[in-house]
Amino acid sequence: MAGVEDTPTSGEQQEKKPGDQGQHINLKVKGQDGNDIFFRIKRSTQLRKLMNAYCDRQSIDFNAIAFLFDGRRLRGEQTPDELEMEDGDEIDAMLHQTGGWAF
Amino acid sequence: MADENEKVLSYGDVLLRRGDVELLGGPYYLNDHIIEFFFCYLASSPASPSDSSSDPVLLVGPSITFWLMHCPDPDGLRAAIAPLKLRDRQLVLFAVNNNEDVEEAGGGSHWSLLAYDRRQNVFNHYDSMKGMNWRHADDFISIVKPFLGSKASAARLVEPSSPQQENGYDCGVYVMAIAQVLWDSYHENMEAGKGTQLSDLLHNQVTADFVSRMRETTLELIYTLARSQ
Repeated sequence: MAGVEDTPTSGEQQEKKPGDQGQHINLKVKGQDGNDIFFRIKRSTQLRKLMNAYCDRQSIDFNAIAFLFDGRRLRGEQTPDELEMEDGDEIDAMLHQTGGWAF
Repeated sequence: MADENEKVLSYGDVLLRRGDVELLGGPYYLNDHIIEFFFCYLASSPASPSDSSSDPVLLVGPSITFWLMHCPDPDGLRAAIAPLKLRDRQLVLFAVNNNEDVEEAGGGSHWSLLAYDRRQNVFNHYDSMKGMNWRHADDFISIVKPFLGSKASAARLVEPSSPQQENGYDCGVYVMAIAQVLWDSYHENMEAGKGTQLSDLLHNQVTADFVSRMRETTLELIYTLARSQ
């Protein structure tokens, strides 16, 4: 399991509640090659961190990848809280496409 | 020189960078970011109900379409397709790419538009290079059919007369232009679905000149939206 390092921000500090057990969430990123990588991330952390960590591990440029969740593209500034993600949820990762006409 | 990674516009689920937007400015292939943006923009137009999950028309952008087409396992496919609520839609448009290598970044060379029309129970494939993406569309419909409701299992794939590109780079713009015509015509006339009329409409509206101008108008649209943010 890969950990995503969290740097607390003031926003996160505010959201911290005493005794909050569900502060972290385990997410699975599935690549189109079928390989899974698991990440543990704070619910209030922007998913950009997870995306960057995934790209680093796969040695792929951040801009070359699209992340999909619940039928939509993920944006880096979204958080698991905002998307109502649940423990064990899967994010799909795929490379971008292009086209004009096949020669 | 401007940094191609510079962020130009964040719109819906799409982030457009300088390098994406500049593809519209010349004779270049369009990438999925631009088509995704345009689909998001169409879906947010006033003709559409505020809650897109209940709109009878669904635009499925390049990323989701490509994921479904090359989904590595059946469970993943079911999970990815469920939120689209395909059974509840009357018209579903998919942006199809011919890339077959899921490990190639920026892969593929041709876009086409596949439309499932429930009113006629048919898959219409609009390809600006007739026949080029037929096999990809045919493979794709066998994947999505089970999720479109029981009647759809009998739906055939047809390639209606579609505007054809006259150059080697505009297929992505044709996909956007044709999607716009289908979207508008559905929302303007809910009882439509008359194939011949639609074909006339496409050929009258989506001309080479229109497509060439659409690069400019989309560019202007992006900068206008960026300024208003």
